[in-house]
Amino acid sequence: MSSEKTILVVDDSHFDRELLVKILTRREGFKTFEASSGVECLDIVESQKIDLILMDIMMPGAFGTQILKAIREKFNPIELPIIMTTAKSDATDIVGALHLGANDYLTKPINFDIAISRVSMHLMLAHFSAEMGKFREMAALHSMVTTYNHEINNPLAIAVTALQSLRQDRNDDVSLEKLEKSIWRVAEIIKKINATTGQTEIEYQLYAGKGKMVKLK
Amino acid sequence: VKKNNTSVFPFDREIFLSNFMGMEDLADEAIASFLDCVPRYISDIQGAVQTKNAKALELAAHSLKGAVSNFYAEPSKLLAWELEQIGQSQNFQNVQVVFESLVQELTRLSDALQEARKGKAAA
Repeated sequence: MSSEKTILVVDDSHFDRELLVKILTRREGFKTFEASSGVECLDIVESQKIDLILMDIMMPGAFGTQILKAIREKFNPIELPIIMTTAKSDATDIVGALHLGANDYLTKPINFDIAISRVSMHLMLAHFSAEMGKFREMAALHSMVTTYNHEINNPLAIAVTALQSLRQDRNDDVSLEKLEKSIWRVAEIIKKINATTGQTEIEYQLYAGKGKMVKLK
Repeated sequence: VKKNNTSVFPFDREIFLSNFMGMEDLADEAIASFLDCVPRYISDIQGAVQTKNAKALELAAHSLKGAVSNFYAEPSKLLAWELEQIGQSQNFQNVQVVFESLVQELTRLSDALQEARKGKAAA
């Protein structure tokens, strides 16, 4: 998984940034981007597909926590995990960053083994969360198929019975009317299916989130 | 204000190398990269000291503190921390003494790192 993932390292210190980038690329094969400021970081987040950010809390200009806040307005912690890096003495900053939506933190000097483990763990969590989202969508679709199946079967059974009656008596107006209504009902349901399947994935997730069967009027 | 303690080794080579998980070439590159950055770290701090720019001093010292901590260079880290505190408190009373101590300590650290690289090359 690591070789496909892209990490953005944000640190104003060229030395710290380069060191972390080298470890991440050479040891784990991650693709990396570097930013030395908040502005650069936000530009990269806007223009590239980033899977995880490692960001220093204390930087000139915008502090890491300010950048974190700006990123969290667009991406939640599952969509884009952010691990803050900081000196041990910055306990207040760590708590503040976690409150603002940082997923985790690393203290400097960074133990590279721990850093790689935490990065891998947060990437894995993000991956599983995305997979869970897909499962929920599948469950919602299954629920919809079950509902429509039931909705089609009822008028179809009525139509079959009406057709059998009409075979015996072609002038059976009641059965003819039932057959006609049933066919129209099936046609309506097919229209609904077309409308539903034309909806976006987000709407499928909405069904899944509510955990309810799809209701047809 | 603490004076340089020359009896303390400027960095912990063993812990520094162990952090690289056997990637000695990368450790060597880290040393080379740090040595390249030292003049910049010193000039950034010197500039902040001369202009009595507290925020710039705090940030520059903080940055150096982070960099030297990668080498487990406790004497340098302590002096960088002191300068960071001076920046935070905006009390420049002893700044020159601490700055000079830091420059000396960074020289000692740079020499020790150079030696470590030579030792590795000889081996």
